[in-house]
Amino acid sequence: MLVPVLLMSDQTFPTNLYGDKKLWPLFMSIANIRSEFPNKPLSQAWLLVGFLPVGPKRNNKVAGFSAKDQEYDPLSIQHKIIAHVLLPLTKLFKVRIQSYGGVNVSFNKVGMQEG
Amino acid sequence: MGKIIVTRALDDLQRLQFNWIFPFQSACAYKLVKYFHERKTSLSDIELFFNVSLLPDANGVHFQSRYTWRNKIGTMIDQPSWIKGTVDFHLQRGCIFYYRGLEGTIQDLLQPRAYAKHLVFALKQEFDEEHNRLFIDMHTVDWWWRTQVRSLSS
Repeated sequence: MLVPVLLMSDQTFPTNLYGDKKLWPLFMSIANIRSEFPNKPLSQAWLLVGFLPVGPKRNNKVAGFSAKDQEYDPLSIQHKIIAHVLLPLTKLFKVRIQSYGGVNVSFNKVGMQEG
Repeated sequence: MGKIIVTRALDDLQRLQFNWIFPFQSACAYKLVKYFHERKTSLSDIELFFNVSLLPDANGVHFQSRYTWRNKIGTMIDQPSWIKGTVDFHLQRGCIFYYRGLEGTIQDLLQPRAYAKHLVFALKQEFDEEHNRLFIDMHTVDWWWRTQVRSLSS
């Protein structure tokens, strides 16, 4: 059985509570759930799995560190963090689901393939 | 070999002492925090609320200023299921990030009864009225079938 993992992330501003600070939440869902269901606001099919670090502001006065490098540095680090978060899925593991709706469902193995 | 995951969610819920409103100890504290959050109350207004003592008695509310209120909310992200890490950017060192194990999250997504009729586990070819192939969801493309068969065969 295949369980494709979907990740979604974007910066957001919790201005009312924490001043001008930014957050970068990371949400996860699975493609086994039909898309019309998780897209409903109250479906709760996108779960919060992490908060990525927000990169520092760009500084044009840093010698030897161009604006382009400053743009890609946080992105490359965040990709490494996401790879680190996904690392446990590279090992097959067992998931056992309790019965629901009178039907017993159990999934023996879940693995990861980068796509 | 693979890692066995225990059904921690059900075990926790079945315990009588399970606190549904953790990290808050009283319904009044939970409702107060929820009210501030949903109304997007500013920090100055929250400070004013505590200063003029609009809560006649404690009512189980253990935070009496905006700082203790924020610290209480901060404990919600330090639950055991969250893992804390730091990373060094080129221009800023020691940035904190949080994440939690994805195995439990996958289990949480596969388990709800409300999702049961929306779950798909195999390729399903969909067509429009003129019999043109439709590619809507991930389970409607051939990649799903190829990957699933290859995973089983390997």
